[in-house]
Amino acid sequence: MIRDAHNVIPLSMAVLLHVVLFGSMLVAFDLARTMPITPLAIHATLVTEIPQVVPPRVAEPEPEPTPVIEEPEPEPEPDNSEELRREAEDEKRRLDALVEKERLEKMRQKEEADRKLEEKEEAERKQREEEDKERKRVEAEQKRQDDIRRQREENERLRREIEATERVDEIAAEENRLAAVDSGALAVYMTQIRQKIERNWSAPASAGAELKCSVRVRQVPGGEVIGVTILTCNGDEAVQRSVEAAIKRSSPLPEPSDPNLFDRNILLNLSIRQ
Amino acid sequence: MLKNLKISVVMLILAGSLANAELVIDVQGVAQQTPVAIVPFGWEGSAPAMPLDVAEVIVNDLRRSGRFAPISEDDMLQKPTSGANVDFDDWGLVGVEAVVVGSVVQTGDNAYTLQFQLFDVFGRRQLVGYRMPASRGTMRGAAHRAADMIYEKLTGIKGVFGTKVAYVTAQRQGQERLYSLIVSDQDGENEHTIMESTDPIMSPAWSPDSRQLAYVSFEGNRSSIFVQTLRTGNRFKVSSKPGINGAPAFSPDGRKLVVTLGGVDGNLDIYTLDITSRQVQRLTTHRAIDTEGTWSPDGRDIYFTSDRAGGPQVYRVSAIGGTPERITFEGSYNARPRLSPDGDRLAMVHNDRGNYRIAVMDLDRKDLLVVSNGRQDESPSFAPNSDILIYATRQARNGVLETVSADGLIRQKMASGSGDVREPVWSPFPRF
Repeated sequence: MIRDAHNVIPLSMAVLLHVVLFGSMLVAFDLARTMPITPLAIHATLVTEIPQVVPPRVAEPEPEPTPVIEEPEPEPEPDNSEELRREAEDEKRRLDALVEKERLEKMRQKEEADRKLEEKEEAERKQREEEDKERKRVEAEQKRQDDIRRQREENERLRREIEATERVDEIAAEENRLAAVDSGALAVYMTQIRQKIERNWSAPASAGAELKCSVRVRQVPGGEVIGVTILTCNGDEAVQRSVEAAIKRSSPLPEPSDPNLFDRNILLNLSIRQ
Repeated sequence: MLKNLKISVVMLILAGSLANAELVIDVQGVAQQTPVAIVPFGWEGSAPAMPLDVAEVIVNDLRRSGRFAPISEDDMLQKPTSGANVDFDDWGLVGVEAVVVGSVVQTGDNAYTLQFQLFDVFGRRQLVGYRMPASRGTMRGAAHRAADMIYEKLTGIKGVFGTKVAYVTAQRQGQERLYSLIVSDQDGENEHTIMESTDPIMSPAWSPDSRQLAYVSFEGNRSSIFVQTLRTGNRFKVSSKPGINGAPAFSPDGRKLVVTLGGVDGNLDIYTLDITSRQVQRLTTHRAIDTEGTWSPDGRDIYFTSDRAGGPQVYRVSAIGGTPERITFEGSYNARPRLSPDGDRLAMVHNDRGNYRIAVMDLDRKDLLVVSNGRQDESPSFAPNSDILIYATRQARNGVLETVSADGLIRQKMASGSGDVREPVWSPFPRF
């Protein structure tokens, strides 16, 4: 048998309703906490509808519904339907007020959250700006350093290039000289000098078989002899005079076929043909 | 990468070559005639010309030595007579290494002053310069002395232009032959007959002071050794022993002669003879022929010819006696030894493949150098500078004189004497 007569159903319904309401609020609140941006917009839509439904006095706080449940009527009266209806209305008002309160609290919380969010965003913006500034400063510094390094590298490259250019002639000359040496032109040049000096050298009678003279000859392009220095010579005065005369008589010395073969300094080793 | 490597290799070579950037050339010289200019000498005197063309004497001396090529007067760009007017550049252009300028100034009736200067053209300095008094008679000698100083400065060897030569000539005179002992300047000029005879004259030898000659004369049909003083003509017989008296040569101190004596048995041996006391000392006793002795310059040894081994070879024995030692081994015939005054070389007559030629042996190295090219060359004699030899060679049927440098490179005929010229001997340096 059903104990409707003792108003079990409406009471449990009310309790269930409360639970559902609170639960949904809790869930919503939780959602608002964890997902701060988009769920709040849904709640904002809710807020605009609520003033039409809720009367002004809702602001008054209501006692908890639970005491009502814990104080059952000792004696259920058969003709207490009006009373029940009133009670239900009160209950509804009370619940509405509760909801309203929750709503306001939520708004407040939302506003607070928004404010905090804004502050946070502002702070973040400022921080971003700061970071941006710093980053730009670092980037500028980096660029400056890079420019210096690049300039330095460029200078170094130019220097090497200039050096290389300066050496190009020298290297080319040396390569040409080596080529001329390979071609036998140097041997010809040296032979021409040797023969001219031998033609002009009247070795005196006192020049013996063991004669050895080393003579440095300095010449200028064109072959003109500008210096004769007898370094070592075991010959007598007459021999040394003859050597000097031979070299000076041979001035200008023969010129090489290849100008690269020209040498300002010549070392002559003189001896007597046996 | 390869290019870099190539460049670095080139750089290495470049660095290496820059470190001793110098061509090194070996030059081998030969004895060559030195081009010189002897400018005609200036003259200041009463006569239109100087008594002797001094420059010509010097030119001939230098040319005959074979070591100089004096340029012709026509090739001279200038003819200065004193050093102040010598332009070295001009002479350098002409290509001469040395220039001689000078003058002769008359200072009295027969008194002159000869002045000469020798300049090194490329060294641009004076090498030697002298002023010498002279007479007409000594002018030639003074010119030779100037040539000697020039020669010595330019060659490093003492000149011998002022020295003399003695030799023997034989001339047909009717049915007889006339033999003459002649002394001349070394160039053949200025001949003086020291002795004449229809009997043969042989083996003249100079005293070390060049004032006397020893020789062998066959006058009276026997051989005798005489020593004659040139200036006075006085002579005295130093050896006239029975048999052969031959081949005299003075000791370096002039007090002795080395001679060849035959004795009564005719066995020729080497003796030393004291000129003053006439005492002799026998150095060889061999049955073979020992002859043609000559002193070493230090006076310790006698070199001579002996055929004790079959053919003639040169031997050496101590001047105070001892065991002879053979010196020559090359060829079958080595005779008539003569030492160079410096003692380094031995000249001899050498049979060179059938020809009798003059050969010079280095006493240290023992190598033999044939320096003449005749068929019957004979009597080599060194000049006092040891650099030249004189000898006789056959031309047609007569003997003529030739000189040759000791290295065999420069040979000159000497236009001297008439008839058959033989046995030349070169004087020592004159002592003034």
